[in-house]
Amino acid sequence: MDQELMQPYIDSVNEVLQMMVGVKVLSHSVTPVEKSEIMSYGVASIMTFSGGIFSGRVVLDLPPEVALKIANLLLGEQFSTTRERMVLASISELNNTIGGSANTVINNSTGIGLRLAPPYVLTGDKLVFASTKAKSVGIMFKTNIGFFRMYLTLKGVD
Amino acid sequence: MSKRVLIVDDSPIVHHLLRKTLEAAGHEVCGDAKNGREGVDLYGKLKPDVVFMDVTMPLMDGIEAVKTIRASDPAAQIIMLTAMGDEQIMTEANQAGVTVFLKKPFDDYKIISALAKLV
Amino acid sequence: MSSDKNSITNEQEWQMLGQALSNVLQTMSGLEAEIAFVQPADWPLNEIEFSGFMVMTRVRPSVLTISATRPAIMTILSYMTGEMPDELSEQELNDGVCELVNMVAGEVKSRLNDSERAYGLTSPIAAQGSSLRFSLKNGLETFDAFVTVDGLHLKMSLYML
Repeated sequence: MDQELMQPYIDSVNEVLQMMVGVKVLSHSVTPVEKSEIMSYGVASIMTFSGGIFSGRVVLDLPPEVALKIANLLLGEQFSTTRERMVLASISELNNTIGGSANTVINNSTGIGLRLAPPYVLTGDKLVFASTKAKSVGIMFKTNIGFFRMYLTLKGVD
Repeated sequence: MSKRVLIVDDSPIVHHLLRKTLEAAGHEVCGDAKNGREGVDLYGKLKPDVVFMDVTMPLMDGIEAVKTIRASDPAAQIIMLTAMGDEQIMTEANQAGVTVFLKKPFDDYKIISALAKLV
Repeated sequence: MSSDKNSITNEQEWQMLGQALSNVLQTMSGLEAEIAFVQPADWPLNEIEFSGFMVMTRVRPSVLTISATRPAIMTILSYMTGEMPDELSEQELNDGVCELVNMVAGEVKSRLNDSERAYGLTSPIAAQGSSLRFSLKNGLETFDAFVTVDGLHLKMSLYML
């Protein structure tokens, strides 16, 4: 995937985490995803977008303890389980803001006109997600509250 | 000066965050709506000083809701707050009659500064 | 149903998706589906282990999901592929649930192509796990269908913005 298209998402993660939850990204690393099946850390938020001939997806995959820390920091409350609706809603809102902010940058520089669909969140024991029809790149983020991964898929621009 | 604020957004998180910020700054959240249609109804009933309005929502989107509110009250003060803030959406929002356009992410300063800009 | 494609309601689109699911199951596996629009009392809610998701992109997007218990997806795929259920790999099961949702959404897409409800399709994604839970934002118009095939269980849901 073109670095020019990936960079807005990386920048957006940095900006959104810093501004909304006061979390600092310490480093990130990009790796291609070879397998179609991905073992999730436990909480996966999926946000789809499309515009013209392009479509794509941002998956935020977080360990439950990181998802909880983010929800606690965002809302100023103490949640103890990812089964709480507000925890999942926090992760959804975070993904929506990251994707929206990145797509705004792409739209303004390319004129593609990407639009977001409602994000959804999956949780489960031994959660695996799979997509055989599209290639993704994985971006691992290390932060001061733990690590998480973003999977980014853009179709029509490979 | 304290303002009465209506929040129109389908995200419970945004309601929570805005309420926390606004109340800490001495403003009153007089109503919460989950979509544009509810927002239009509550605007008519509550006559708030300011509306915080999302764009993408079920049943009626924010642009449509702004147009409807503006048609009934040309002096309505509406702050649009959205994750998608590209030029096309900003143009649509301005044409609909949005007073201030804010892009997410946001913090307390961004929200309170936007309110301060309103007459 | 109305012949005017621009007057199709959410409920009618949902009925088309239900019909498409029946057609897909019948055509691909030869299995007859019984569809209930109210959750049966004995529905095995906690046994859902596979879900396929697809976003129907348009001005007001929708999310279509098909979820199944492990025996249900194994049986359907076994009929579809001719392989024995226990010969199917996890990858094939995930791929199968993606294909199912892809075919159902694709069948209705072609019928709505020249209407104002026309939509594009994103690539499907499958999720597998025990205690699988799915959370979407509040306020979306939601339709559920509880599908029994050969005594086995699937659920199809549509979430409309």
